[in-house]
This record gives sequence, C-alpha cells and structure tokens, in this order.
Amino acid sequence: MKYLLYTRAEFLRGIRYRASFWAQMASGLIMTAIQWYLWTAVYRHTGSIAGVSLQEMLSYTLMGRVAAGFLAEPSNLRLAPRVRQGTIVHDLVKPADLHFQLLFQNLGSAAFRLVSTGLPLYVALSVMGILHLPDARTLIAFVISLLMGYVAVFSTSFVSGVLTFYTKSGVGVDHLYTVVELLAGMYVPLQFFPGWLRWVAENLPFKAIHYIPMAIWSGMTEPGEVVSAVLSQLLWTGLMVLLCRIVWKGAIKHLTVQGG
Amino acid sequence: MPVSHLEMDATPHSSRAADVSCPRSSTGAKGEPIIVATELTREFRVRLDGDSFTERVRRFFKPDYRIVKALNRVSFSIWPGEAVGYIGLNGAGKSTTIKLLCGVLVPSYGKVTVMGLEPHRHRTENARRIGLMMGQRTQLLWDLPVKESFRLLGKIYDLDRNTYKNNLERLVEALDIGSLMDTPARMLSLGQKTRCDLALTFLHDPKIVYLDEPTIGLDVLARERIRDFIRGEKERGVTIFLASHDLDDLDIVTERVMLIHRGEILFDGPKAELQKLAGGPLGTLEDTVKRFYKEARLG
Repeated sequence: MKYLLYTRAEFLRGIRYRASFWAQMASGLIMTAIQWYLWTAVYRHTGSIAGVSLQEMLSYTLMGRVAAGFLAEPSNLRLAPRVRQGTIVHDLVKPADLHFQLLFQNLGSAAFRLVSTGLPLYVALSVMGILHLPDARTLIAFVISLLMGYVAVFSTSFVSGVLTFYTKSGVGVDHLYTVVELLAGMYVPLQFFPGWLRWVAENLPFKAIHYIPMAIWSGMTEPGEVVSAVLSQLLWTGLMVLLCRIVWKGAIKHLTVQGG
Repeated sequence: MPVSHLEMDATPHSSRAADVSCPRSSTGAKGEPIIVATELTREFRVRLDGDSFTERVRRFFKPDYRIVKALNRVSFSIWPGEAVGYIGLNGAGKSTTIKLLCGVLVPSYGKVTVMGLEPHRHRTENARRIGLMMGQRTQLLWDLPVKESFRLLGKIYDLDRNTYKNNLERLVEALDIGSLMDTPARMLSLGQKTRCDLALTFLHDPKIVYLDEPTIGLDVLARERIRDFIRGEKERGVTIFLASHDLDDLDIVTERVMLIHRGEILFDGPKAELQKLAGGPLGTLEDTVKRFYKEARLG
C-alpha cells in the first residue's frame, strides 16, 4: 500500500518538532481539565440531563479529547494555495491520486497526535478512574467507528477545501465549519439539542464524525443498537467519499480545461 | 500556418512535421518521434477588470472576458534521445507547452501525443514515463531528511528494490548528494536543493524529462555540474526537453533549439544554425528574439 508512505512521512514530520509536541500535550491537558470541571459543575445537583449521566458525559467528551487527532479538522486541504503556487502541477504529474494522498497523509498526523497527546491523556484519565475500558465488543466497534469518523471529517474538509479553489478564499468555509462541529456533536451530544435541531443533526452526515464513535464508547448507544449505528455511519461515510471523488474529478477537469 | 518559420531550409522538419509523411529530425535522430505536437493551441479566458468604478461594478454582475492565446498553432516533433532547448522570454508560452505535454492542461485546439498517448486523456499512465522538474518549485518533503523524499517517490512509482537501489546510487554519485541525504530539505542551499530535485526527477527511469528553468538562480559552477549531469542522462537515452529564458542554458543542450515568442515558434533547428542566423555568437535572448521576430514578420 504505497499511500502508507505518506502516513509515515507525516508522522515523522510531527516528531521532528519537539516544541510543538510539548505544546500539543499541554494544550490537550488544559482542555481536558476544563471539560472535566465544566461537566462536574453542571451535574452537581442532578443525576442525569437528557438521559445522559455524568459518567457517560465525561466519557463522551474526554474520549473526544483523547481521540482529537482523528476527529479535528485537517488544515492542509485547501486547493486554492496549491493552485496559486503552482505545486498542483507536481501533484498531477505523479502516478498517485492527491485525494488519497491527503487522506493517508493526515492519518499520519492523527497517529502522531494520538501518540503525543491522546495516549498519555488516556493513561492519566484511566489512572484517575475517569475513563474505563469498555467490553471487547464495544471497543472493537469504537475503533472501527473512530476510523470511519476520521474518513468522515477528512471528507468534509476535503470537499470544502476543493471549494476554496472556486471561491478563491477559505474565509466563509471556516465560519461554516463551526456549524459542522456543532452538528457533529463535538461540543455536546445530540441528545442535548432542542427537538428540531436534533432532528436536523440526526439526518445529516456530520454525526458520523464525532457523535457515533463517542456515543458507542460512552455507552450512550445501547449495546443492541451498536451494529446499526456503525452501519449507518458506514453508509454516510461511503457517500461522503463518493462526493469527494466527484468534486475532485470536477476540480481536475476545471483545472485542466480552464487552466486554474 | 502562422508566421513562424523564417527559414524553412534551416529548419527541415520544424512545424511542418505533421504535414510531411515521413518527418525527420533536424539533428539526424531516426525512427518514430516520441512527442508529436500538431497545431497545438491553448487559450485562456482572462476576466477584464475595468477602468472606472462603475465599469467594475457592472462587470461584477456581468463579467467581460478576453481570450488570450498562450500558444498559437504550434507544431513540432521530438525524437527519442534528443535534447531540445525551448527558449523564450517570460510569458512566451514555455510553461504552457510543458503543461500541455504533461497532460495538466487540455489543448484548446490541435493535438499532442507523447509516446502514442494523449497526455490529458492518460495523465497517470503518462506520468509514470515522464519526469518533470520546475526550477522554482521543489518537490522535496520540506521538513524531512532528503532520503525520505526518495523513499516516498520510489514507492509512488512502484520501483522494485533493486531498481530503486541502483538508480539512487547512480544519481547520488552523479550529483554528489550523498552527504545531503540526512539533511532536512529546508536547510539546503538553492544549489543543493536543485541537485536533489534533479535526482528525484530521474529516479524512476523516465523516458522523457521536462525541465522548466532548472538552473534558475544558480552560480556558474553549479550550472556546470548540472549541465554535465544532464548530458550524461542524455547519453543514457533520456529525451530532454529544457525550457528556459536564459540563453546560457543552451550550453546544456548541445543540439536542437526551439525559439518561442508570444505563443509561436520563431525558429526550430540546430543550435549552430541559430547562431549563424543570428550573425555570430548570440547576444542576449532579447536581442535574438527581436531579430527573429522582425525577420519573421518581414518574411
């Protein structure tokens, strides 16, 4: 699998920068502490909100911090600068596909963030008794779901990154992305939304990014519903990859016919 | 035909290659051509801006466009193993030609085939057999040691272990980059970077290599080294297409020169012929272009 070389190169790039390594770790710890204080304060006088217990809530949000590398928006997917600087020509005269190249390249930085921030954080939270390893079946479902979540967030960013090539600027796209994060369940689980918004979020693909894997991990998804949750995520992710292919082919066509 | 060739005798095949049943190279190369461009034309649509405020507002709602011909009915053939210098001022159409030959641009009119394929229809297939180096844009992995770039490209081109090892060894020696392999690309000097980029371009045994201003910004010694290397690769049978705005780069290619100006080829023939027609040693490129342009218009 030649594209794994891109994963490797990006991972190696990550570990070359020791300062950024420590900065990432520190910011990961601080964000986690804030989340912990926030939710324990919210739950001080109540056992459950919208059917979610404190333990489930902490498990949902803090695992989100551990896996942040896989589920955060990749930042290097903009096509516009590649076109402006002309490096797109190099990308197009290689027997490799830029879409797949970027998919695997960002997996490398996700893996690096898992090692640099995720795993130490996980160990600390387990030792403190906040995160608990679920049973094997849930764990396997979670890992599969997390990888699909990565493909989903990548695809969302990739499509918007290709769109920057038409809009020539990424500003509007950035603002829209906050809405995507909200609908993905990155701030709170979908149960917390008012009815209409929950309906919207349930029927959009973005829940495949964050909500589905974290709901599986935290036990919000009933054991009997795990398989159907993973299957619906598979369907959404598959459609998103398909959309990426269509948009990318269109961009290549536009590039070669219009000339950038 | 456009006003392209002032001296058809001096340029026996030149842009008429397509019309002649059995084209021959001006430099004596034989067999089937490896690149055939026929009436190759590329237009770009440029959106007009406007002089006044109201004009600009109007054009925001209803844009006006102007068609610019970056390349105008250019025809040529290149034979396997030739080293061709493609010389022209900035904006003459050099990079557009290279992009058309690589399949990164689709021709507006006309046709180009490279090793029997139309590059834009078979971009990936074509990509395996060609190398492209742009002097201005490195393809090295910026933050990683140089050797990682080689390892990556070796995999991308599916080179087997032996081919990879042998090619790398040969290129490292020829370009003297052995001591740079552990250095991150961002710490290399321009000359070192250029040598590494060149080695990367030749790593997968390309049949044709397009070099777009490969010696830009380099000193005389570095240039000489690159010239020797490229000559060596030509000896190995690689077809070289070198685009440059610098007449000094003609040292690199020993034989055939094409002179392009405003999207049209003014001259295509042996380098010695160009020198003769230009009346002795070539002065600056501007002078040479001016002379040929004037004569082409008159003729």
